[in-house]
Amino acid sequence: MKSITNKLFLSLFLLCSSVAVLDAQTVADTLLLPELVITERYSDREIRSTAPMQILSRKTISGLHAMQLSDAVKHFSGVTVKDYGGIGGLKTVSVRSLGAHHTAVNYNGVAITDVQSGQIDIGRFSLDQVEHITLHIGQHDQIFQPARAFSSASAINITSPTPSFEEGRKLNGKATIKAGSFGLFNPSLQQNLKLSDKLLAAFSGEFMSANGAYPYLLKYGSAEGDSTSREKRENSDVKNMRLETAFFFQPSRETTGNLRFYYFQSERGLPGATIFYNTKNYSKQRLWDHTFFVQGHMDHHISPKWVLQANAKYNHGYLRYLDPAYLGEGGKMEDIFTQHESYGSVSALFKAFERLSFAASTDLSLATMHANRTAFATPVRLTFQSALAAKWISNRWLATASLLYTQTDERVKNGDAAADRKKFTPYFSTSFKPFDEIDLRWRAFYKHNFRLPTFNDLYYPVVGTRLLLPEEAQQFNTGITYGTSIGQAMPLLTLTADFYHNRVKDKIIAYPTSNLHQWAMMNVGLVEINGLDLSIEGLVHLSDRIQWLFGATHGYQRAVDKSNSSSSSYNHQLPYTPRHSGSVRSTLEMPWFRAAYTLIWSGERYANGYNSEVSRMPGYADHAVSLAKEWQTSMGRLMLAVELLNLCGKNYEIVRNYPMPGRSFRTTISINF
Amino acid sequence: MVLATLFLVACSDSDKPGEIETPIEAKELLILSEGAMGSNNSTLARLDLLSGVLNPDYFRTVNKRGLGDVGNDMIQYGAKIFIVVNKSSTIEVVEASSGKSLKQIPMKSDNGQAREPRRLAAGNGKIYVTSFDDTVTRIDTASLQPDGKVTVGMDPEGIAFKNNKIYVANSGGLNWANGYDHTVSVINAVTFTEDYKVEVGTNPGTVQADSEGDVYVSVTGNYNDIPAAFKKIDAATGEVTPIDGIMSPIKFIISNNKAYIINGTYGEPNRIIVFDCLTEKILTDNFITDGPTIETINNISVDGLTGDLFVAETDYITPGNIHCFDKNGKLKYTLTAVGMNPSVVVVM
Repeated sequence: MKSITNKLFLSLFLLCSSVAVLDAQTVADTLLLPELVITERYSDREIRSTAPMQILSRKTISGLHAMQLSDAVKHFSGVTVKDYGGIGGLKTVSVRSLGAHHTAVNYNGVAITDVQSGQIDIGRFSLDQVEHITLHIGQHDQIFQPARAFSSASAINITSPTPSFEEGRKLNGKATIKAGSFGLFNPSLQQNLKLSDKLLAAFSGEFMSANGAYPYLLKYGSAEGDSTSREKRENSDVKNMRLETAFFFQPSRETTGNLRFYYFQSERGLPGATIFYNTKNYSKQRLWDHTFFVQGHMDHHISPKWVLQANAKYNHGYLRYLDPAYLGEGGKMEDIFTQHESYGSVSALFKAFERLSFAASTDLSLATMHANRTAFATPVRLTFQSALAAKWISNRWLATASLLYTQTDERVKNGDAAADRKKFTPYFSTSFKPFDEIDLRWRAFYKHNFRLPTFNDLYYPVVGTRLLLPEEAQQFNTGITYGTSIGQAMPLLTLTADFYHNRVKDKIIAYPTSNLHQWAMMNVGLVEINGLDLSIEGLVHLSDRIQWLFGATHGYQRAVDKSNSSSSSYNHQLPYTPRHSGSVRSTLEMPWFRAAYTLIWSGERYANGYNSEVSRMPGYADHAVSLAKEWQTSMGRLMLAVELLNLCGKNYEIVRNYPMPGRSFRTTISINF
Repeated sequence: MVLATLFLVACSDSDKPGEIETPIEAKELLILSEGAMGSNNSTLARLDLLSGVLNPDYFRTVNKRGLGDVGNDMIQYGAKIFIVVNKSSTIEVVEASSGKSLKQIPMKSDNGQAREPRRLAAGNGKIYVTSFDDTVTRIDTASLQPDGKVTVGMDPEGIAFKNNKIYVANSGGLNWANGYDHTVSVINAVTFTEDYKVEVGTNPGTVQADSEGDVYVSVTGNYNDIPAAFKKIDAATGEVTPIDGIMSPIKFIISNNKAYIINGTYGEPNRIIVFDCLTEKILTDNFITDGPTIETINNISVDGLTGDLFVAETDYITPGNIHCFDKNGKLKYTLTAVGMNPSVVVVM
């Protein structure tokens, strides 16, 4: 899709965009070798990375039967998505059982933050305008990044496409309409404008609504012969709207940048757990929220050896929760929360030698939260982060090391503030290629990181505890990657295998005090995790005109509670953590149409920290198939697709008492103009 | 044998809350476990005392369906067992001999919203249920139909029936942000209307009466600056007086004019204080003389005939135990992993 005539212009953008597309193995951190950037395949980057990195390109995503980010992320190895069902249901992601708070979500290089809950609901990100999604376990080899990017145990990066134009054109775009079961209606429009040789603009808007009233089978017991009833999920509707504007500028050869405006609003019903004999009207809770942020990025090449980067963001979030059926005085419970964050970052890259480069980065962020609860603490947290990193590249070796310093300063309007924190957290990673001719590599990394207690952990009325310590995680990973091609028929085959050992200390969980009514957030957890992540990806030319792309992942995890040796849940598997899980994807590209099949499966897991027959949940498998066809018309490229989801039709549960929809369908029609 | 039969007849006083009508040889125990909220895992267990076999999922085995979500209270009345299931908002009427559900009474308002029933008391052929929609509902034990409703204070919890009066502790628990409620409602059982409210203190939880008609209330406080207290409402004067030496009462039960009170201080294991309602003196501040230390006691049930205590233990995470102590506080036996948050024991 990328025009050859704009190669140089485009390569400059790719080089300087905030999510690195640089080839880690060659010294392409210069302007001199742009060709490598364009022809490099995503799969090559995956196998060269010193820490596990998985990429889903736009093309792969189109065959994943995914509408929301959560659907796509389920195809990554090592990932557990806690999905509460339905389109509007909450979906959070945990990588290698460290928990949702340790997984950062970055949007075009800058973190999406939620200082209130610390978890990002990844269901809210549509895949409508996504160039690629990358999962970095540990850290990215790209050391030239904001200090904040060094701070999380793992990161999911969402990258939007940069507009590109064919010769002579100044306007292009894409219009899409999706429709499907349970009242799904999802139109979107993307428009790109070439305002000048130095300035491009992209506008996109999307609306999505669904009634979410899917039928499900409610079982009143798990034994054979226990009664069941057919129910319909109530109060499960969702209505979202997203508006984005981005400007891409390059005033000179040395300077590039972009400025993005993003607005998202959502209204949804919270259906709650499916409670026996009370499924109708059980929950009438509603949730409204809107997010607005503006973020800017700039790269400036001072000299062939020095590059400077600046990032800035302002974020405003609003959340309103309402329970109109609350039996307390006033007949309702309503909470309104707002949060603000101002963020700035400056980074420098010094290519000291051909093989060795250094980066330094400093970030400052100011976050605050307001609530309508009486005497709410109204905390303000100032976070200073500074990172130093180095990278060594040779033909056989690639190594990176970084040290992150974090300091926080916290104040409150009411009550006591949490203590200020000062911490150093290191990271080391390396990969080694023993043979010149064989694309076989061994890799290893170690990372120590922490996450601060969220404002909810600290200040939520009654439950919040000011004395909480940060939660600390240590990750050890070692693995092998292999890439090859087998003749003309199989131009691509990659395999990765990683073994990991993680430890979480001072895990923050809600814990009962002596009073049944009063639970508190406490640092009582100690978790040990051992696991294995496997993945395979391949491309086969079945004939001149037929291609077959396939991929599969398999994860094994043993994540056990080691908090208290006298507790009966000692050495038991963490809740909602399957020992085995995986995914399969397969796309057949033919001249007549494209056929795709995906499978997401999970083994048994326990709904409770105490593993017993009673808390055991059965495994599940979610199969989906689709057919798509593209035509070239006078207006543009037209695409029509039909997907059939959850073929088995079972209302499986990822979280107990939150059933997933059964069989459903979705159609998409889009035109690239 | 004749003496025992006379004793049995004399004790058939359905006014006394906590009094369990049992034959001399208790045959079985029914144990209600609350389950965890939102988990649909409230269970009714049955222990066959003759064979020693425990069926932890008795209700579901017999009725092919689970009890529902959060079974808060259970009471035996005649040949029937009444179980209140709070989040499912139902009352299950179970045939005591077979475990079969005779009727499931939905506790919903006209628009289908859950009324959230909490606790039960029995008297004169009726069952009285407190619900978080600020009401007490009367259910006829013959027809099994609700036949009356009266509005009381905020979020009523504990309930007791004595001398044609119904006492209800209005906790105001859902209104903790605005200072809870602090009253006990007194309902006239004949007219089934609320006669008056008595000021007792912040967040009253359990209410029980002794044979003289004195009413005792555990006042929980606000977990902050307002402390907990154990108080008596005098039968004659209606005066409210705190009882010294009982600093943090949680739940309690009165049987044979003895109040068995769970006392919980933060950082220490719970203790059971025994208070004599007639002499109005504390008999012991640690009932267990020979047995395990129990960190968190979820509930206490008493076998009125033998004086045996059934102490339900929980840690909120793993299925809890039921410890059976004799009237001298010596451990008789322990049933392990009975259910999540075990609570009420009925001896049959």
